[in-house]
Amino acid sequence: MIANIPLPARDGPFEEGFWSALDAGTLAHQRCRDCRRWHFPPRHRCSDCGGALAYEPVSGRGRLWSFTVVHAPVLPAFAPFTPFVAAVVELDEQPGLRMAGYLVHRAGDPINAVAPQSLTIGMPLRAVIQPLSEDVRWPQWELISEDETA
Amino acid sequence: MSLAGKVAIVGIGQTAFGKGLVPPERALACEAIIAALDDAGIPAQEIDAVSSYTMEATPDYEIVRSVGLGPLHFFSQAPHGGGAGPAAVGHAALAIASGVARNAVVWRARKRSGAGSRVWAQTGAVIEDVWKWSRPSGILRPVDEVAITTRRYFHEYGDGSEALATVATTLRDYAQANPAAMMHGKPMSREAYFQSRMVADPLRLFDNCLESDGACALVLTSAERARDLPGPAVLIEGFSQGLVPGTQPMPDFHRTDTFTNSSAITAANLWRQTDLTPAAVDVAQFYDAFSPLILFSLEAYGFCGRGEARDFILSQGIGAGGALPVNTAGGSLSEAYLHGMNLILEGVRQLRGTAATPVADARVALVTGCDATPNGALLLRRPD
Ligand SMILES: [Zn+2]
Repeated sequence: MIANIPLPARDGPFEEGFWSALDAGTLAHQRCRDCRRWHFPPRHRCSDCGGALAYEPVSGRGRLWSFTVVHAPVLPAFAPFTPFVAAVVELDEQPGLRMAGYLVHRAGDPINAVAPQSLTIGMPLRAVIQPLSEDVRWPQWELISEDETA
Repeated sequence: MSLAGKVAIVGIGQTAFGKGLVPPERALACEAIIAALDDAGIPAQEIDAVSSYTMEATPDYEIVRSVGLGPLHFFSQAPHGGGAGPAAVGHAALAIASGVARNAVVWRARKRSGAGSRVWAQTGAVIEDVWKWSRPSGILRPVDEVAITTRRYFHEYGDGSEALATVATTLRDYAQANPAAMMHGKPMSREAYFQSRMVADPLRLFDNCLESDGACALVLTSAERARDLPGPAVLIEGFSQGLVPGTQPMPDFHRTDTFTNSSAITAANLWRQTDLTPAAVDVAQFYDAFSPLILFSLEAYGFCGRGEARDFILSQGIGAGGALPVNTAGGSLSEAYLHGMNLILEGVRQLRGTAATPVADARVALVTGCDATPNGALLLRRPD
């Protein structure tokens, strides 16, 4: 955990199922009951067809969509960790279903654990749910081999 | 119904641009507005509309009281930070074209040269807005957001580092001819660009806009009244805003096709309003808080195809004498970062023939808002 990290408010609309799944150590996203499209960030109803949405667990598998290497100056909470990789992951469930999160070798690694030289866009990743604070969890994304994607 | 040709920009004004300017923001705003009114030849008391940005810190009533404007019939603010500039002008133009108001002032004042004044640095302990989904994961600053998009673009279309260097050095070259530019007298070689430190890989220090203090203002009136004013008028040929469904300003990673964004929405509706095409544009002022936004905007507004902006910049050119001169006063990278308002003033100067690096016989200018947010654009033309 990073001391004094800015935390996401948990009381936004349409989000309760997202945070409660993370509380239980799983990752879930909204899915349309009619057209079966996945959606993130949370919304009131399916923005493709207007259908009702419900939270469903996702596989936690994804691929590196893009990243940057963040150099100083940054927010004070992150300053001890620069430079570090900041990444966006595309989940296997659907093109465009993307989330931000730290890349790690093992669950619980710090934000700067992974060297950018070891990264390739499209490489496979696996979600490991970790605390951002005592009250908020978020997936870290563990680098895995193609053999582990089965 | 069309806006084309009904409204004119008849005055422009600006303060000095720099770091650590002494006057407060409101004083800078007043100075720029008075200069624009003097340029237009319209008395302050005849201004009955004002328009700015939602991020503008100088309230409309303070400006009205301080400068002696009004009474007002229309006051507006356009949202989305750097996406707002063309819309601030466009809203005022719509008010004039529809007869709600007669004469308008548009302004933007900023004191951004202090590090603590940066918007991202104000992040609180709990994030309520869109940044809750990305900032706790270390995507902290706008440059990080644009860097992630840029790396993906390079992955899909090929490495664009050389094109970014050309953007940064070309805009620096323009600034050498512009005495008002903060980087006037500070030329930059390609080597110096590549030696600058990484801020958010692949973006370097000189891919980032300046942090500036200053203010810019414009005066608008009807094309009919503009004919009776002493100075040269520039007509608004088209205006649109654009917000693509699913967009998140600015960590805009959540749509399947990231690169067909709000700029594409703005562009399609802008070109729909006119017989002019991208080929008719003599000079462009693309919002450039970060150098890759110029690549993305070249493609979105139809100057080249998707993924072709690198080649356009390197082989056709955006410098003086290039196929499309871009940000000819130095832009946000080398003139000043007035949230894009200085780009609109340069578009006007080009069509008046008063730019520091004039594009020969420029008749049509495009000015755009930030590619990475909901945005807008103005198509400007000479009246003759
Ligand atoms: Zn649906």
